[in-house]
Amino acid sequence: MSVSNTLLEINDLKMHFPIRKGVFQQVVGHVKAVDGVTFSIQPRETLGLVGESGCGKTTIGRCIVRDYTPTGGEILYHGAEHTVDLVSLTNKALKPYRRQIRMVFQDPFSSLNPRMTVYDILSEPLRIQKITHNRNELEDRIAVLLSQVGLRPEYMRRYPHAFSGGQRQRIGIAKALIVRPELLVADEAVSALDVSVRAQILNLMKDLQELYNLTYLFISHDLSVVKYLADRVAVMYVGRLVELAPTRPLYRKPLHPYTEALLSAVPKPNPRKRSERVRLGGDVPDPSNPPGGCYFHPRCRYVQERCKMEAPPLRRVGNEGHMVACHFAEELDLQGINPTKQATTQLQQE
Amino acid sequence: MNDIILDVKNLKVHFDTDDGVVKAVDGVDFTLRRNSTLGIVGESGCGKSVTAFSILQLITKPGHLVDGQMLFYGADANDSDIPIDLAAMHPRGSEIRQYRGNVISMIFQEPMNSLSPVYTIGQQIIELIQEHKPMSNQMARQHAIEMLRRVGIPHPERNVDSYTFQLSGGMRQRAMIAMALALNPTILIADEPTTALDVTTQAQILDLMVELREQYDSAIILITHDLGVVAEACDEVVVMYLGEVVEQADVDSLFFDPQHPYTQALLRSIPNLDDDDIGQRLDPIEGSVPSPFNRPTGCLFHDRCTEFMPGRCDKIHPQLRTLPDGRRVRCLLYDGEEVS
Repeated sequence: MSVSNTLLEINDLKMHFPIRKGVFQQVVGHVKAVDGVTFSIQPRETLGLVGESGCGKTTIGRCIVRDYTPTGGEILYHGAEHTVDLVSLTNKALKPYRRQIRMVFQDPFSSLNPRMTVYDILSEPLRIQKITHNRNELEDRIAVLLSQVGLRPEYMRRYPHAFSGGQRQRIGIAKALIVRPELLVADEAVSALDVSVRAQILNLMKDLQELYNLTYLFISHDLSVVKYLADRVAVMYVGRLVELAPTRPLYRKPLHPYTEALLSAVPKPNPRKRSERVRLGGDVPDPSNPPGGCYFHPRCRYVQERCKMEAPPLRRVGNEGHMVACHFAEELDLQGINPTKQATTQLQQE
Repeated sequence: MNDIILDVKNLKVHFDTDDGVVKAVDGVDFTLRRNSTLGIVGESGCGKSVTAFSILQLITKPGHLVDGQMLFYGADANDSDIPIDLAAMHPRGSEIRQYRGNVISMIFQEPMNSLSPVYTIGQQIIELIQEHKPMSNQMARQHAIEMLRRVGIPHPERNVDSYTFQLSGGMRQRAMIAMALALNPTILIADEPTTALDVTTQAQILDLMVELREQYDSAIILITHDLGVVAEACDEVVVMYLGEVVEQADVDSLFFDPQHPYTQALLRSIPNLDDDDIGQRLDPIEGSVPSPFNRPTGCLFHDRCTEFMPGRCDKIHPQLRTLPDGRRVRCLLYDGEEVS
């Protein structure tokens, strides 16, 4: 992969949290929240990162914004001038990159300071980054951005409590965008919102991406939402990537049994499609004590002897840029979402 | 024998706050049939949970039941045509307590907060059993273990002595379901039972609930904001908006032939897993749910509605009407008999 068309490159990222016990706080084990994850993001692309709770998807997001200092691997950021490894930078050296990589949080109620007005919230990043201190200029910038995220500029004097959940999430997005970042890490940005509002925010994120040439890492547990935004989707299970592919092939023809089960478990708003389910028994394993071999083997329908012994590496299969970590990816015939009639005829014509 | 087991009529629950009266539930009518699952859907603040809590008279201050009847046709096994009115019972009386957890039981959203962390799950189930049935400690314990086995908790003999924090989220919710079903209730109310769970666990719990309903012959009221869950698990659906029922229909008609403009808009706005619209835009409902202190005049949905008729929708408050095919809709576009 050439350097020029990559914005962010993550190589063998590891984030192990120590478990301490006893009077002397001895380290008795590690929670391997992220354990050797490799992927890259192209400029103006949306990469969806999907998995169940505890799989490490949020930890990856927090490593990228350097909320956490990873315990291993590198995060290469290909900026306009040069490439840096965000893992090795000190807090001081990170400051310019905190402007270029921003985060949108899940809960619009706890991520805004209730004692600051919208103006204070949105002007703070500009002042910290020393972009401008001029009050008129600050107000102008904030007014423009507020109208771009669908809020009235007059609202700038109000406090967060005066807004609904959807409006607060718009403020959260504005807070991330005010310094004109390159990359936005959106961690479950629409999960806390009501269904009718969720669609508004997803559309807004699409529009803003176009307007500002943004790159998104869209972290979510909900495969049905991810598909509206993402160009490619990465599926995580217990700290590792199990599948990474462009959206359509991943949904239509998943290669990893876990992806198949996830797709099948999403409740579909169609009462006539109830029966076609792949059931997944058991629970997500404890990341401090994962099973041997392939982490998914205790829950996998297609498990074989080899899966219990040997952990499968993430490898390329086929020519659509499809990556999968399964020994039997070529042999399994997994069920994705069925193309509707219209799409099938289109395919045949092609 | 009557097919309807619970008939809720004109239910009103208001909360007197310092800022004014919040009409959390303001005119809810629905019927629940035997051996069926009724879904109640709506966005946050529409009053769906308050409706569920009020059936068991669990409304806490400053809320109170203002009006309405909740006719329960299952009190007497021999003569179930004579209903009892749950709304008329005193919320702290011994009468309603005979029903709570016994004849009508409830599963709550957050199993971590609704089970006690200082008692084992076994102790909590045994307490419930002995509260309603004269059973020896040994028998009650056996019954608790049997219930845990039925809901699919592994090693029930051992896990009956577990505390809630020793179990995963899915297992906790199973324990909650075991407790709710321990006395073979006639009606099971499930308030967002799978919202706090992962999708794969959610699928397990929904399958379990459908399976157990068939075994136990109970009727289920499933409260959720997720239309996908409704499509998977319900037979009939009630759609609520701002404290009112706007539509009640069987699940197939609701998804394939929705009548109320709100239901139609809601169905358009939800993401689905069909192949066609990868990377497409969703079709949202404009605006947001109005503040409970500032409810619109006329039809409560008129300012977000695509079928808005000026001069009518903003003036006349529509009544819930029964259409010829038995469905109920609250919209001026439809004619039908008023639901009393």
